[in-house]
Amino acid sequence: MITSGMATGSYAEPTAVDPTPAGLLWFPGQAGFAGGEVTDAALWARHMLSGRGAPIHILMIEDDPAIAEMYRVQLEHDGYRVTIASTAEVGLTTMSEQAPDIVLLDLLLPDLSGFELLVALNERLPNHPPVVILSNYGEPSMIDRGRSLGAIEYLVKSRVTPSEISGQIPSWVEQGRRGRRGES
Amino acid sequence: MTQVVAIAQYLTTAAFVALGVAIAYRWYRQPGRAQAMLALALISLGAVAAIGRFQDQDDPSPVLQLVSTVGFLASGYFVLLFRNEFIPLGRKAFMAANALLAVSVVVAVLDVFLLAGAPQIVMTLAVLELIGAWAIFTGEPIVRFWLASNHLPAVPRARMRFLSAGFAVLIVILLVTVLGGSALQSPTATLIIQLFALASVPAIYVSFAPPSLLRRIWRMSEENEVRGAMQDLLIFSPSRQVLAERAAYWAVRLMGATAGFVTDADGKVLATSGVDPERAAALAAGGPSEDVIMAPLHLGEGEGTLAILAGRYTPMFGSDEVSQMNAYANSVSAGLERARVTERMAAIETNKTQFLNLASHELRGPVTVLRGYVSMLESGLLGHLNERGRKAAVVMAAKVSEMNELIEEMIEAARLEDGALALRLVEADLRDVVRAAADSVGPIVDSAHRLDLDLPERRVRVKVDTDRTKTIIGNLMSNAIKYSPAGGTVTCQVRARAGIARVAVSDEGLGISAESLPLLFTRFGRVITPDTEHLKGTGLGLFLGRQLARMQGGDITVLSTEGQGSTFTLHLPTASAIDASGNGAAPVEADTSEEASPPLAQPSATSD
Repeated sequence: MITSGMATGSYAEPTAVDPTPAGLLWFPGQAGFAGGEVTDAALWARHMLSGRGAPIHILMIEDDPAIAEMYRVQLEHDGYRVTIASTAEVGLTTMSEQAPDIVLLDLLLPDLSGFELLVALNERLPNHPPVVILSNYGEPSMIDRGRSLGAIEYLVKSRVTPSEISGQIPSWVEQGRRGRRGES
Repeated sequence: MTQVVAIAQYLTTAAFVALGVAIAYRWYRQPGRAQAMLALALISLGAVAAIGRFQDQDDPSPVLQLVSTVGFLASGYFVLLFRNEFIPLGRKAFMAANALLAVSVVVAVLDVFLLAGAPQIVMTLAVLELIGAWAIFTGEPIVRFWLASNHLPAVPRARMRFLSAGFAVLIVILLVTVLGGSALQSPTATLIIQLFALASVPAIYVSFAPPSLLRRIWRMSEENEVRGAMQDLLIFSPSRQVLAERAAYWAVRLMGATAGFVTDADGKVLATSGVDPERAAALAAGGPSEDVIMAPLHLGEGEGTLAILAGRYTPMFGSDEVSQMNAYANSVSAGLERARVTERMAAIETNKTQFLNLASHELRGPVTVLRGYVSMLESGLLGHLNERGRKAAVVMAAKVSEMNELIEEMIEAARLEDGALALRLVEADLRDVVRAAADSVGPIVDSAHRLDLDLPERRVRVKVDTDRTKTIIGNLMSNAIKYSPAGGTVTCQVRARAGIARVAVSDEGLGISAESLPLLFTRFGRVITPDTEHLKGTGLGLFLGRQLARMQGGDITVLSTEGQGSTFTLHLPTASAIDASGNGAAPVEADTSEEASPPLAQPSATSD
């Protein structure tokens, strides 16, 4: 039970909403979600389905099969189409052949690092879909690097759950779409 | 007066003969080409002096005269050969020297047998040729040795210089007597010349057999330098390797050796100076000999050696050197041991940080999967669970979160120790940060506990890393709850005064004994008592909290009474104080008089 001495005080801006409310995580700056409402992912996906005739296509580049499979379960449950690439090479091929709507990118891959993949992607497909980095590392320098290479979000895997990711996907896709429109 | 002159002349002769005998004895004791050349040079000189003294002045025997002249030439030639042993002569120079010797011998023969009746000028020229040849044979080495001595350690330097000076005096005497002619025939002049010649004898003697007293005097300047260098050597050497290298270098300089090396307890060559490691290893295996002094290094794992090598310049080591080497080696042993301990500590420290870093990042992978699936189980995505299953899922979710929290703490600690922790300072209202922290601990506040926030009416402007500050405060709150197993009220009071904002988190829990207080803020330091041993934690929370607070110009202090409760206070500079001081972080002097905290009496611990 929490009682506040200043009952009126509802704090103005939750600058850093912790996605793990129970945790007292040592949280370096930007590795978490910015605030915002979690959309009901399944509804959104179905909406997309009805409007466009095809579900959002997610490409997950991730070499750990356990993590990839877990995300597939959640994302497919929420109505997305999921392709999993276990190497950077396969990921790049898939991207040019199938044009996914969004890419979830791991940084430690067997052939290239996620950063190298991002560089290659920026060269080959300047209009590539939005990329969200999901990494085991949350060092500020890596976060900055990922963002400077054009990733729209950098998240530490252990701090987010698949359902949280799933809920964010439509807004990321929208963000990517807006970004590209702004460029062209 | 003539009597005195005669005595001086006999003395000089005797001195040169004695010099020849002395070096002959040393040559016999320590055979070697260089020794041989110097010995032959001095023996011939002694012989020449003896013949000159004992032959009949008025009716000189031509044969003896010839022997004496050739011996004289030979003594010079051997000095040149002695020099050749150290610094080899070029082929042309060597041939020229031989030609000069041949011409001089011919001149000597002519001088003795054919030029007896020749005019004075011819005689003088012939003698000048002979002395000139001798002067060239000895003069070149004198200059060469003097120049070479500049780069040598004190002892060999002094010896080379004495040798040079001794022969230089002889050259000067010979030239002066011949050129001066009758002008120098007076007894006084002869006496002075004899005295000078006499003085050159000890100079030459000490150059090849310096007594230990003299060696010690020569070493004195080096020793003063060593003493200065010793502290640097023993205390500030960054590694054993560097220390060993410096030790070998100074042993060589101090003893005037040509080379030195240090072997480790396992017999491996640790460092060398002036000798390549292969040869050092071979010498180390061979053990001490006439040319090698080995002083034992008493190391923790066994016995190493500090060895110096005698060379051509330095054939003489005495017991004095050996005892001094042993004393020196003892200091070096202590230094090496200290360096070993320091190195090991540093390695452990680095390993620990690396392990912390690696382990925590590696742990994130599995935790990700656990956390993901548990959340899916909880939400029913993987199928409907019965009541017991749902309860289990909730417990698992809590435990996985706890694990996650520990991993994050470990990563933060590793980051802190790597110096890779960068704060993101923004201006914020400390009350907001405290409320966010209270929200984050909401789930662990159960029915037995109350969390009261006592916040001021006005905003408290601070410039902090809000995420980390929220975590520090949340951690203080969760500790307060964790260490109040019987329940009670946890109060979080925020006050700002005189540029310092304070967040005091007080509980009515177990409290901390005075002896345990110093442990609190150490890394992995947890206070384990029967009451707390079942409580989990990494012992990193307060360590991190204090470090992070200090990085932001603040600190964490504690007041506690065992059995009554504790108050942990986070001090932070207010934004206005930072603005006023003009830089990022104004250090906060943690004061002990906690006017804001409840009257929890002693014992108290403040920062440091």
